[in-house]
Amino acid sequence: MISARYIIRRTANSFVTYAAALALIFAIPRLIPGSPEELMASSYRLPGEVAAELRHRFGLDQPLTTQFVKYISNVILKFPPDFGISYSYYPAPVWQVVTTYLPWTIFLLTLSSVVTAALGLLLGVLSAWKRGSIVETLVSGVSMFLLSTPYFWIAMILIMVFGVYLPIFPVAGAYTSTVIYDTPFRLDYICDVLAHAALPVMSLVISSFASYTIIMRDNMVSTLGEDYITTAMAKGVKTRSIIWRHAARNAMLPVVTLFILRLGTILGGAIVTEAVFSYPGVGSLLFNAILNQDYPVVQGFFYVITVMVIIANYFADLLYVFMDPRVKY
Amino acid sequence: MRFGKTPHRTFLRQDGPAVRQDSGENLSSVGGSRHRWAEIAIAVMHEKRAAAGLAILLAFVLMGTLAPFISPYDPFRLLGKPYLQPSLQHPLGTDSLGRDVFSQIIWGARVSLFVGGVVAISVATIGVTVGLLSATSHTIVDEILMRLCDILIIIPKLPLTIFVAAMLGRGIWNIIAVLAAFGWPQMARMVRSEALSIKQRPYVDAARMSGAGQLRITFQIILPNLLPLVIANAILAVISGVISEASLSFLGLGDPSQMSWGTVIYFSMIGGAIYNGGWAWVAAPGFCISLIGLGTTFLGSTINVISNPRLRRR
Repeated sequence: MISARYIIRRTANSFVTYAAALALIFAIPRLIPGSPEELMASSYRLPGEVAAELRHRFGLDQPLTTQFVKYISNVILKFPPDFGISYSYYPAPVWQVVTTYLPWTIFLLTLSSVVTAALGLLLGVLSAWKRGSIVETLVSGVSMFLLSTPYFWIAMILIMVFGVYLPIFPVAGAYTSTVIYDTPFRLDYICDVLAHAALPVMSLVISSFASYTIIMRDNMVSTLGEDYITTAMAKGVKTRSIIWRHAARNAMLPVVTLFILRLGTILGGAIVTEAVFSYPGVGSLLFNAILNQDYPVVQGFFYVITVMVIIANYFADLLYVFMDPRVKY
Repeated sequence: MRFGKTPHRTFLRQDGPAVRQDSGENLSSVGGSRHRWAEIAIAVMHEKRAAAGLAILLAFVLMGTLAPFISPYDPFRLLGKPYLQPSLQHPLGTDSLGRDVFSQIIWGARVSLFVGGVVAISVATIGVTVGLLSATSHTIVDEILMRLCDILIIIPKLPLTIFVAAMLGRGIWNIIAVLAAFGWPQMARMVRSEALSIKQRPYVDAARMSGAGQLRITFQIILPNLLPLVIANAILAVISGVISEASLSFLGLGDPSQMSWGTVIYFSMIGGAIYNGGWAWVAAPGFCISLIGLGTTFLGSTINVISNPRLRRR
């Protein structure tokens, strides 16, 4: 069972990672050549004294240690964390900008992660059960091919097929912006949002279900070789029950961790996918912030997603111990 | 690792045939492991999948290397009408500026595989260095290096890469540097855990007893035994380099003077290929990337399974 020592060590590790991530988020924009006020000065042809004034206003003329202390106290001690004001959405605070875009990404991620895991597991179980048949060859061949297919390419193919040749789904945005609804809880609004999410979700699912299928298949194959499965077969337990209740439940355990570990990867994919579909999530936000050199927003973005992934990883590890009593720490 | 640290227990642990053959051979010198290498290579080539994977990869490497000789046109030259459908003259049609897509794909192999290859070699070098350092050094160094890995693994890699690449500016070497800088932690972790497990094996104890120093043990015994794993994962790192480069180029952060597959997809996106019937222009580069992925997966995972007896049991 789970020991207090393990929980303490795991929690401490998470905090160390969090602290280091904070430092990294502070450091990266400063390590990169060029500074915001130089960029602004050169792109708007500002005279030297204005650039110096900007430098002073941004607090960039203070020593790094002072900047760091200020940054840490603004981020840790305040809620919501204060990353300053966005340059490109002036004068909105970064936190407000990020949280406006975040729900769309979370919606996209949740929907696609769940569908991906379900489809991946199903195909994995199927190809393990039908081992050696044409079904297995087909499923594993397709999975291997899709394993390393770029998200954005799938997205473009889907736009071409379902947006141009068979125009079923809308190809851009998260909802029809020309219609204004009085309340978001209307059936036609929900349908509209789902229709807009269809292609982004499909491209995320198609390009990421394969890793689940392959791992699930391997686990299923080794689980099906266990003695208790033979016993169940000898007892005359129904095939369906053997597959799902006896084998799949046990083979699924590592997949749960995979589900959470892949969050970061899917998030990366979501950013590129959002760019293709002009979906108003944090991916599009980050991309525009990068293009506009909006450092505060970039920092806010990395802070929010890193904290999300750290928390998810923490609970994945603890959950795993609870779910599988054989694991000892 | 978790199996306990006393030499007695490791002596009792016999986990498969590979341990037995190693323990005889590696005692003498590096030369002894040559036999095992040949064995692994033969076993790998006996697998149909691995052979197919190698064939795919070699075909693309050949295509990239010979690009100046086999490509029918200059990939950047404007030749004629835009959006020509595939024909004998232009096997994949022409793009929105009337450039030959087939030539772009051939040159793309050169650029994409170059980036993938250099990234994979750098990732392997950094990963092995950090992993070995971590496995053989004191707790504090180990702890620091592993926490660093944790952080780099936990911060979603693609956004970070996009950000740094955008700040550094467009250029193929910038892209390679960024991808290598953020790509090594997984390799380092794997090398560390494998090195720790090799350290527990009887032949390492035997070498130590016969007077071999830490350096000799690390470089002449642990490293050669790690190499199959490193090579397998370096092969798998090629495709992640190719995909990451393609993602950056697709977002317009690539090197515009180099026609990689990502750049081809980028041009097809901004050139409106989707709405102008340029299906071959859109489909071809992504298909090539997936094929490379298939090849590296086949080859890399087979080497992994064959060189690692614990996986072979399935």
